[in-house]
Amino acid sequence: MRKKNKIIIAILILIIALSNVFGGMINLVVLGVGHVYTYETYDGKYKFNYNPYKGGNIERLHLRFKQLQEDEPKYADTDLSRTFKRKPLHFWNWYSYFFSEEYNFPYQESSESSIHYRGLYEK
Amino acid sequence: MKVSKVASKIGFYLLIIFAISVSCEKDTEQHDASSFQTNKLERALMKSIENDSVFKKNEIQWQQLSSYKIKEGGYFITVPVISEKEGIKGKVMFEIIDKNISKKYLRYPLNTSGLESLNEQVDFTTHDVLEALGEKQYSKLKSSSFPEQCMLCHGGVIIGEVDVYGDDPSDDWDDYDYSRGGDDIVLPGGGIGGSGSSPAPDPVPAPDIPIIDIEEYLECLNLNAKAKLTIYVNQPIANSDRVVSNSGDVGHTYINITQGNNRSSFGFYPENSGKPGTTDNGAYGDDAGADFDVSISIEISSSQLNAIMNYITNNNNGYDLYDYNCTDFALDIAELGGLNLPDTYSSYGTKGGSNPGCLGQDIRNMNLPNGASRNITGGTSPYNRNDCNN
Repeated sequence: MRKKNKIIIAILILIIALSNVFGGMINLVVLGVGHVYTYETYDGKYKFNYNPYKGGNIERLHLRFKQLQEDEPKYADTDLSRTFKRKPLHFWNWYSYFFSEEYNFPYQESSESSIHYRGLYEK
Repeated sequence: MKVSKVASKIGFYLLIIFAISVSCEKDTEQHDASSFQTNKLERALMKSIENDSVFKKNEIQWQQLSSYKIKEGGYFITVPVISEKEGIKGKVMFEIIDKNISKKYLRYPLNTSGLESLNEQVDFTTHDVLEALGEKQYSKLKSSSFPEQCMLCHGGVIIGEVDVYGDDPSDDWDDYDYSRGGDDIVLPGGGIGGSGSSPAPDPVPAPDIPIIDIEEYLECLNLNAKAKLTIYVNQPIANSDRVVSNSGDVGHTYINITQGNNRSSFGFYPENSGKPGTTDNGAYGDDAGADFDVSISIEISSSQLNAIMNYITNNNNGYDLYDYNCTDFALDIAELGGLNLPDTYSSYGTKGGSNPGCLGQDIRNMNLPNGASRNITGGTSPYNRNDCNN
């Protein structure tokens, strides 16, 4: 019985580990290439999307927020918040929940009236 | 033997966990109102505004649109009106009662006596609005037939308009209590796509930076002058023809049009999730400052620029990862610009399609046509610049 339990646990760990290695692939199939992660300013006025499945780079999200901070100085000492939650049942994302940058933001409820902040432009 | 039994049990339980996980997808993680649903609504409702003598078209803040589900069947939509010089000017409202085809266009300027119902200015199609609000049963109706879903609204008795606004429209509209006038209105817990308990449509994803109006986005282009067209390819893995990376990135192909000091980078995206094997509505997204691994540029004439603009503004293709994706869009644009790029299909697993991985490798290895230049070291696309006085 003990041996059986050990095998079960080992296989579970293996499956979970492998699913986390290919978590992005699983998300691609489950969520689609158009799935975006959304972030908002503290006051819920502006929102920012980040899509890692279509070549997105989270650095561009930071650049756009920096641009907003320059355009509207009231955001200068603020941070973006994510408006999506971690889902414990999505075991293939467990690693991302702790180590991926897209989750490394405080959580806040999404605002009803937030609007997309513009793209990067030359001033 | 025992091991195989144990393994099959584990597989069974994991399958159940996976099924539960996927079925929980929509429980809590909800985005805000979709800009592209808003864009559809804008297109559907715009005509009513165009003839408005009080508010100007460019003052209507479509992105701040809110919609409310009416219990008896229908929607109430409000859009603030804000002028750059005068600030908040009021709001416009639309009401649709789908069971009796009643519709209203209402205007509430802050500087006048109050709410006005402008029936003569009602100029929108109920079906278009309901479809934009996610009421899928109203879409794709054929005028030659009278399908069952038409009975939803055309089969009833017209019972007249319903007042759902309360009796004092001079209240501050920001504080307006939409629950007055009986229990007609249910706040859906969000604008379009809110996550409340009402049957409001689900929110949908969108490009990183949705382009609401592509014509406005490119309005500074001089169609009588030449320009430079660049095709940017962000491969899933740099310098590899793999169609998807281990992290699930399929890459992206996008274009840039530069004319003088003005430049715009954008690409084709799914409006919603764009799940493999499905066709989604297409949408344009801003790609200024986006990564690329390889690019190819060519100068285009004014006639080629016109053809490209015509294609872009009239592109009704849906997004399909296999049949028409960002790479297909860019290939079509390149062809219109006189740049015939190879179109290599590669399998995404079950079915093949054009893809950034293969296109990137094709561009690296092809013989350059006359006048074309290429960048194989990669980088980021330039920031946009749009100065119509340029």
